Amino acid sequence: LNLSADGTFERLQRILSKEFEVATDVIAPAARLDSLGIDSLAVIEVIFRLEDEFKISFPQDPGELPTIGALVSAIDQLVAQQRVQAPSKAEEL
Amino acid sequence: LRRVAVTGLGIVSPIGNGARTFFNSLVQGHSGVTRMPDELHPRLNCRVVAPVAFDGAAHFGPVRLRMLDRVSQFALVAAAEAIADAGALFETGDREATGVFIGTGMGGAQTTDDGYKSFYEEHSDRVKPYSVLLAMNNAAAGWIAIDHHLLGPNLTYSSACSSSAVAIGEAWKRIASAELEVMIAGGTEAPLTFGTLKAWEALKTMATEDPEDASASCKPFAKDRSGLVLGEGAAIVVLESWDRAAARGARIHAELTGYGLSTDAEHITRPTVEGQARAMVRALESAQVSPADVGYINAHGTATLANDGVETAAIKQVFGTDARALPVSSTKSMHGHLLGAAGALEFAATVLAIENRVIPPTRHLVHPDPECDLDYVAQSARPVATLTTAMSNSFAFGGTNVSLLCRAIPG
Repeated sequence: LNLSADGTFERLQRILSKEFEVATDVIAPAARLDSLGIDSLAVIEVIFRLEDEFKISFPQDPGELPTIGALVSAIDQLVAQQRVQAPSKAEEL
Repeated sequence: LRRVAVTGLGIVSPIGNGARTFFNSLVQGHSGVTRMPDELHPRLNCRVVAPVAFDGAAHFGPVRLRMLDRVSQFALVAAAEAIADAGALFETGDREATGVFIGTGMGGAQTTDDGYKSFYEEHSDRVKPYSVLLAMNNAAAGWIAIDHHLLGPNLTYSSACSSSAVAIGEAWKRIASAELEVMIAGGTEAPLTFGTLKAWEALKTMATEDPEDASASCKPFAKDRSGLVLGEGAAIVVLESWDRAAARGARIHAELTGYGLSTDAEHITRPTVEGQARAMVRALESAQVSPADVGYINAHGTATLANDGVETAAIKQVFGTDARALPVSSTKSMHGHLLGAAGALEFAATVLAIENRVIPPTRHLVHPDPECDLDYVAQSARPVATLTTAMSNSFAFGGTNVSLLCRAIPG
């Protein structure tokens, strides 16, 4: 299985449906997280899971992530930023 | 006082899940005590435990599972079994007249352990958002009420090893006094976490492993007893006013007839003969039966040096010359010590014993201790066709002693 063939949206969709019991067909870019049954505490669980999945870390306050689309953009942005920072972080450790 | 019927039983235990499986294991003398795999928590010296074979994912979806510590998972599965076992329990309503009283010593110990590990050891700030709700002691009772929509009092008792015996006794009082109609009562405990086990190890009350057979490490009343074996699980019973149970034609396992409560008030761990005896006497008084009527005692019988001699002396003090002929057994020899769930599990064992007229044995009692000189039903179960009244003892660190009495249904 080549995960890199998957886009961010598809990976997020798979996690939400398998681990957070959200029906696949309602996970659309414009869908609001709270309308998918993901409340403010569950969002934190989702973020922890995405940090592991995409090997990124969200800032302490990830700001407004009202929709699936906003979450996908935030992930892509963090992946791009933190890929650049990765070597220096590795040296620190 | 009104009569109280036991109309439902639900069990998750180290010797099997489900009341029937549990009792079969007891009668057959199966031990759920085992040695932990070497790779699990190598820093622990005490390596014998009584774990439950249980997969939360078989009972709950991933979202629900993240909100339930193991301790609440056990309780919910046991409660669902007990309520189903009671038949059409809420067909006539009464959800406002139904309470949930649960005992637990340590609550969501796994969540607490995991959170500290992540925070202190791994220096991670990713503490699970539901940690507080998973770990709080009353989570199990709260979830039972939510799942079954039970609107009466919802209370959690914590008196260490007698927690769930208190929960059942207090539930009995609410029905006997006509305050409530139905009670879901019992206990749950899931203490087999690294940190909890280490703390118990430090207390120096844990059994040393039997070098030939790890499953025989818990030896209540034996000369070679060396301590308790920690177990996990849950036991929940449905209590119901007798008239209500009879009116709906419920199958009644037994009648809960008496509850005695006393406090040692002497030492935080060391039990007293007087304190234990007082709990037994109060139970006999509340049931209005004489010592000679009791045909079986399910002992607290922890297999610690301190408990078993004291409990033996307390039984002799209460039952006098009848004590020698009175069968007493400790089923902890098989299921280990479930701490806050122990009282409920052993009450269920007592109910099943009188219902089936079979006394479960004290296993691994091969070398008698001269100080422990009662009839402990050593090694093999004993059918007793005339068995009608039985007592279940639960004593605790902190000194809260409980005895519960139950009576068989004639026929």
